[in-house]
Amino acid sequence: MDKYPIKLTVNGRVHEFQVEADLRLVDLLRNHLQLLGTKEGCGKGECGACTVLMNGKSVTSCLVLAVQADGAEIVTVEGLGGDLALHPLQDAFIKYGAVQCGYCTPGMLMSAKYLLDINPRPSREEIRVAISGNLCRCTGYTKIIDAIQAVAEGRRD
Amino acid sequence: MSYVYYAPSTLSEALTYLNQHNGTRIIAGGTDLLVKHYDRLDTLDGLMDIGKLAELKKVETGETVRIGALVTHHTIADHSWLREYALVLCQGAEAVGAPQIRNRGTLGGNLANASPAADTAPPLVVLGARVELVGPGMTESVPMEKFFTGPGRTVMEPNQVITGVTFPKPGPNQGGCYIKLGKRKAMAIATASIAVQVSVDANKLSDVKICMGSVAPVPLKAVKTEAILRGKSLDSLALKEAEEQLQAEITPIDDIRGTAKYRRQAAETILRRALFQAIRNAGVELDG
Repeated sequence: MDKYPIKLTVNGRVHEFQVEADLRLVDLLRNHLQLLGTKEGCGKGECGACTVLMNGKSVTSCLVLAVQADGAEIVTVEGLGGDLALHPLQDAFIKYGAVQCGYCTPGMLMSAKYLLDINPRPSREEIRVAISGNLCRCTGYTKIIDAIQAVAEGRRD
Repeated sequence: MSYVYYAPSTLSEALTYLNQHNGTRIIAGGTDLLVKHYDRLDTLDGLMDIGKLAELKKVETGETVRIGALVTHHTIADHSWLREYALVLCQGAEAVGAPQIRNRGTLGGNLANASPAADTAPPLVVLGARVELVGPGMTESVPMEKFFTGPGRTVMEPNQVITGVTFPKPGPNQGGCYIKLGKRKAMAIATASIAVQVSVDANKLSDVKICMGSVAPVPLKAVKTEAILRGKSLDSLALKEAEEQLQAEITPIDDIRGTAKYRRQAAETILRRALFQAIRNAGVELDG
């Protein structure tokens, strides 16, 4: 099968690949870059577990072909925070009990990051809409919303 | 797998390619195509990615509004001019999926996919929109009501591309509303939906446009229901007669998203709600 050259930035680092046209971005991230934080829950853009930021916008990476990410800037959950400190969202998710099995968590964090990037002072309803593309089977969502709200309000408790 | 991926840089390249390669599927945001072909992309003969065609990404405002086919639902939903003058379309766009889908899904894709449940279709119908189709050596502007021919089917030829939609700027005496019912408030395909656009003059409904989704094989313009309401005083709208006429115009079926019986009951309710909200959005204060 034909391969296509792509060049993209992932979490600040530039990568070049030769990919087949049917390779999805989620597969590129997980299998070619070993960035396993991004999960596949449904493969159809419905569950949000594969959410990443592409050129600053939240997208479900199972519905983006790797060839379509040529020239793009991708941020995955591994790109939040750093070696020395967690991102405030990650910190809040832990403190507010917003993580149980953890499978939805990377996607939730990326949707929350996108929200706060475009709307630093969201209402609770806006937070709910922001994560409406992310399913969670464990927490019942309330603590996830509480954690995001805490970060939005700049609380450090 | 043997299919080819091609990403043209200009519309002209795109049209030439389409004309030479029968069976090529167009991909834009991929939020319908990649779901339909989940795990079976090899069934596609070829993929043409129109994502680089910058000329299809513009929103032009003015006496005639033009929205390029590659404009995303997010861009429409968030667009301050469109929210002020064509709110019904923004409400349709923001009803699609969820944020991640709205960041990728496009207006052109929503129309080309031609689901009877498409959220941008009823708003475009009631705005009197036309779809721009471009093919080799031709351009055509098709009225929205004529664009869909059946579930998943449109008047488009295989070598044509939707380049955008146009509609006249709604006047200051107009208001619109889109309501969608679904199993969830997000990430749901409509069980029943309605778009209403009204013009109010001297306490009368000088014009009304109504289009429903998911109650017929195509987005359905309820012309006979419109005729009953058109010209009526806001104090005596003939709602009961309008509701009865709506029942006669819609042809809902039972499917996984709901029964025909439910859709008929829901249609009356969302007609009322959308009509009253559209009148309020036209600047009229209503009780109740």
